[in-house]
Amino acid sequence: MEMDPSDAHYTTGTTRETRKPLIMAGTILGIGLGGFVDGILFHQILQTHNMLTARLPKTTIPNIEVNMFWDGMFHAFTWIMTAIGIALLWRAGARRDVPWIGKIFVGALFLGWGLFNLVEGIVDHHILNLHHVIERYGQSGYDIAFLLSGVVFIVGGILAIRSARSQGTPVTLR
Amino acid sequence: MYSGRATAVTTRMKRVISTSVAALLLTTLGSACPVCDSALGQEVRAGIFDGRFALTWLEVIAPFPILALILAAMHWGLRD
Repeated sequence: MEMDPSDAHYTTGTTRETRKPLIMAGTILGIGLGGFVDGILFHQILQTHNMLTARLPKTTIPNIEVNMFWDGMFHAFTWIMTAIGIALLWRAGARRDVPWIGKIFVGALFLGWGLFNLVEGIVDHHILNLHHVIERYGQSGYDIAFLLSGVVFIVGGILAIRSARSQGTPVTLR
Repeated sequence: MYSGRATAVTTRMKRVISTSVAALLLTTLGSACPVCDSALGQEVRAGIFDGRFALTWLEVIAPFPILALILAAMHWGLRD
């Protein structure tokens, strides 16, 4: 393979690795996928709540359809986050100074998922009161459990990322 | 140039797609969509564009700007 002499990797034989692009890509992707877990699991499969069920209970067809519209608006944004995450992951994958370590990526995914649960839970369930995890119970222990799941995912994700860092996995050139 | 077999497959696909679209448009649920002109569609539209649309929109997307701020803090604050 022909190498560019101006390339630092080539001229020095060593490389200064950066894990930030992989962490950022994984975190954004985790936010998007976390949003989809919420939407698919709670809004569609279990149907325990929809976007505005604290204000518009699902007791009439128009209310169900209005909720569906706002579910779609929310999912549009989770889709945008997912798309940005994929684009950043693609860019990170093309960089030779970004180590391709699964533990960092999975840790970042959980970090993102946890951030989503924590922020969405605080804002939508507690501050704005748009909906609650199990709507028929209103604000309940399930909302707290949702926040706790966010904290657990964040801590677990950070620990996974840090443990992979401390292992000092060598950079592999792709 | 398409071969005869490819043309047959294309024709079959066109039939499947047009039948699916027709079935979708003819369903009762299709007529309940917010952009349709049925009584239910109009009611749903009124529920969405109820004079608080912009505020509701801001509330629904509220977690995302906050998450973006956290990501920005991570991006600028994270050490390699």
